[in-house]
Amino acid sequence: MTVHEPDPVAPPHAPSQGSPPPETRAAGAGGPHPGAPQTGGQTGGPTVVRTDAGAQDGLVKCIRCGATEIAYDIAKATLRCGFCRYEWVSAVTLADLGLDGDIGSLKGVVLGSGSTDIVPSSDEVLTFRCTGCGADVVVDTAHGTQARCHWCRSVLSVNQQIPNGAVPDVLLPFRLPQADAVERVREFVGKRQFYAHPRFRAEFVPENVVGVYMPYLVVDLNAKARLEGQGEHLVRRYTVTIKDANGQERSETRYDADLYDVVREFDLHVDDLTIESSADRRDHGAGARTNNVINTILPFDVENAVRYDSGYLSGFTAERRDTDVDGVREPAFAQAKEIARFRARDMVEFYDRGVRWDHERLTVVGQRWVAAYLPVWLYSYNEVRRNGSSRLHYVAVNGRTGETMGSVPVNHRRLLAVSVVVEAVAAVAALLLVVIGL
Amino acid sequence: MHVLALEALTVVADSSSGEEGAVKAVVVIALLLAGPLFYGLTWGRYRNTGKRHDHRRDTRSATAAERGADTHVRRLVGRTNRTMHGANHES
Repeated sequence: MTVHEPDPVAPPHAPSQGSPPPETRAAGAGGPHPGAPQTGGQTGGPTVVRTDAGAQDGLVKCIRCGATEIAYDIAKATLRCGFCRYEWVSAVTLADLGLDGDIGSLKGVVLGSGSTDIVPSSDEVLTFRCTGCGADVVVDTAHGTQARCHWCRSVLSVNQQIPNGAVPDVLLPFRLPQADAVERVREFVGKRQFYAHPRFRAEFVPENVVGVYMPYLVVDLNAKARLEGQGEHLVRRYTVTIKDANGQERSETRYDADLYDVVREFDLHVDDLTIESSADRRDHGAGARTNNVINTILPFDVENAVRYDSGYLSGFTAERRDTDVDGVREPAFAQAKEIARFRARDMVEFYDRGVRWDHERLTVVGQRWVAAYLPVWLYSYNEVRRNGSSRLHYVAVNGRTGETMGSVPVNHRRLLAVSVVVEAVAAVAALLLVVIGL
Repeated sequence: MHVLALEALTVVADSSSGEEGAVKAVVVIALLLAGPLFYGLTWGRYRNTGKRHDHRRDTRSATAAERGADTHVRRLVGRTNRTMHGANHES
């Protein structure tokens, strides 16, 4: 078996094991055990793995003091109570949920319960009765899964999955602190100052970078690939002398090659192929919004994701998934086909003149989908042009690896002026080269 | 200035012999395109509109049970192209 490992990213550090994890919270019906509750499968439909077993809605309390001020401490990689400073880590990983592991044995469709189809009519706005004081609190799941009771200041959370896609299966907590992200954004823009739009430079405040959890659908694929085509292998390379129409002689290189019909078949296991699951974010056209910037900072180390818990969201915003598995299946399979072709390069090294693949077929035997929230530090700037149109520029930093990419609005006048000068100088140089160099 | 340079280009192409003239012509063309090239490259560096995630390289994948068939068809003689026409295994 040959495995392709992408270039190594910053190695993840193990979360601190200072305090014992509150198994009682995740225990009961759920909790980490190998055979996570599953439904379906027998009838031919997708197998759904429930990832919110044991999750509670409403007041999610610190087990030591009962407060609801739970937030994620990035530096220590723990959940932390704001009142008693009790710290714990989420014990339930992707593997514990039964959603990671041997891809070779995957058959059929396996879905995490957070990636099941969105029911269009399901409510986005949920109302909870605050068990602290009895008030009705509204959680607008289009913008987050937490709300603070305006009477008693307790925080209410939505942790159980609701059929509008707002609660994912897993999330990857931030690893890069905000200060680091600010520095990276400052450095990125710092290298692009001279031709940057003056209003952007005046209004640039990197401290305004916000942490956002972006929605993705992550898939493991067990597939069989078959590629058919023709390849050429170089046999001989030599030069011939040719007389052209004017009677002048010149030399040309000629090649002799063997032509082969080539077929390659192999099993392909794709691990954690990540696709944006927000229709707006899937549009990489770089038109009104520079979404391609957010796409560039992939990949994330999804294998370290933990079961969703609203405590991680405190202090951050989240975008809701609005695309189903059916909506991203075709792009995912297309990407998998490209991966197959990429891996097949190693199998046709004999054909040094090249291979032309005429037929490609990818048969997906098993697929496993997980809805995930992945952390992005995002700086956004709205450029309003003179004709009234606007474009939203992003500078995005991967919240795990620190990979940074961005779009900086250009000062076209200055760039044009300098380009004209460069062109003038180069044209003079060309003229001199011709006149003197002859 | 550009008209002059273009006339000079034709002079170069005609006068110098074979490969030497071709190299010179390429250098002159590159210099004449320096302005638009500079504009495009700098704009690209600032806006990064073409940047995308390369899922082929960055996604973990494993292959197994590789098998295949290679059948010799015929020998090609005297080809002028350095690489196979229509090769797409790198795309």
